[in-house]
Amino acid sequence: MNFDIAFPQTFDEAISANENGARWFAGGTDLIPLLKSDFVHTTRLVNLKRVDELRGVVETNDSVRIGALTTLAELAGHELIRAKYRALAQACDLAASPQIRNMGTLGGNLNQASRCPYYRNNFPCYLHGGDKCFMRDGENREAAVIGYHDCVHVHPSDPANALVALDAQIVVRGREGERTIAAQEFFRAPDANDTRMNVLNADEMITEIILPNDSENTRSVYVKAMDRAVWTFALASVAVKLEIRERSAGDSTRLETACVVFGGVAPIPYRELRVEKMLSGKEWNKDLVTQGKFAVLQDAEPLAHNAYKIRLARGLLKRALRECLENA
Amino acid sequence: MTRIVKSDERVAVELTVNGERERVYIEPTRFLAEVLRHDLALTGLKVSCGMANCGACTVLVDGMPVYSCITLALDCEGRSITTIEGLSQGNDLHPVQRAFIEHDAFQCGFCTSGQILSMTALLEKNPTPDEGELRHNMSGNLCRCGAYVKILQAGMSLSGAERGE
Repeated sequence: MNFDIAFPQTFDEAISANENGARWFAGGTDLIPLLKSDFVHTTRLVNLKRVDELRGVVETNDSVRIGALTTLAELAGHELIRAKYRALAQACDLAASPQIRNMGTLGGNLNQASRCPYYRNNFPCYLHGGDKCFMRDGENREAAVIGYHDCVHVHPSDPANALVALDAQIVVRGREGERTIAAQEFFRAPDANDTRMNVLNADEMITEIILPNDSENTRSVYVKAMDRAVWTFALASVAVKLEIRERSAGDSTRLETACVVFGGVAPIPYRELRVEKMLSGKEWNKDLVTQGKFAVLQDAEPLAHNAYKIRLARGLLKRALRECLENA
Repeated sequence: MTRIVKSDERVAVELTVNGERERVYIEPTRFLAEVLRHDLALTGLKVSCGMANCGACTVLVDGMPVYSCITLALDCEGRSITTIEGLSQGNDLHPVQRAFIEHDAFQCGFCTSGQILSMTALLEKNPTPDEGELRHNMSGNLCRCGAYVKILQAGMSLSGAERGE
């Protein structure tokens, strides 16, 4: 490791400090181990921690804006986020370990590198500029079952799934100025020609995340299955956002709209439109959860050792719905 | 103006460590764990994985547990750091240290300073954790001897919830 550190105090300073081969630096919980492993190299870290414009959680009339430097621990414990965007608070709380949540930022979490064990052990795979995915025919128990191209890794972020379900917008800024991207459009499945995991350009940083100001009939939840109870990545997870209301006085309560996003099953947060459609308009009661037929991930193409993820995802969806019902 | 510290440049950094103001002269690639151990001789903190996995290197920065093996020391300018050496008052051990001894909450002891600091930070924030909260907040500290049961017992013995407070 041999890098300079720049300490900009404004956006503009940060962007001009990001010269050839520089990397943004915030929590560092992913980047530092990658640098120590010696397969990510950089000449300069542009330390964003003194850029005050990247801080804060602010409620406006029609949205809540989260500065990209907000840590996962801050979000997990934030009263407003817990009350209005429970799925996000839960996803942050279930991510990584307490120490990582204290250091790691939301912006960095969304831009973290792959956790594929082949990538992390420096196999010459697509993500390292090679011409093969070693996981596809190798130890693929943790691999994607759907939505993958050449590389079968899964996106490691928990909050990403919640943000897609909550219909968040991601604001980014670079040399060309600012652009706002729907969370659903932000992530991408790496392929042989373009191994990026999201649509950020090298000169761009995430500046803030905007959540819509949902009605009081909205509730959300995030449920995650892991090999152990804590401190690991999702085998599968689900973020669900539901809008529940009585259509007219005396009518039964209905599930007006549902947004269902699976994590741990694809290289992107995987939105399950068919299940959303199936749930929409249904009577909202225990029967829906216990008797509903949930044909999740119907288009999955599992590999040798990961078909279990499909049943796991279905079970998680039922658990998520039950949790929404019980926390009415 | 953007301040830039060159990779081979050694700069003075002021840290508050266990309540004392310390000045160290360091390059930008130095990690907090090394600076505390080598420059300030605070060897109670251990480095095991060096990759933010195991928690042996846990210290408190402004009261929050962090992995010092991946924390750049330069980034801690002006912040308040607590290591295991900062808990006892002379020969008078901190209650969490006493609870670890009373409950035999370690074997080899390599992870212990990190475990004690994580538990101390939790109890500062929440003096009455239940067992679930204790487990959740201790989950970033691994113990390969497997002393977890005893560590939990030590923690619960200090929780006001356990004592009916």
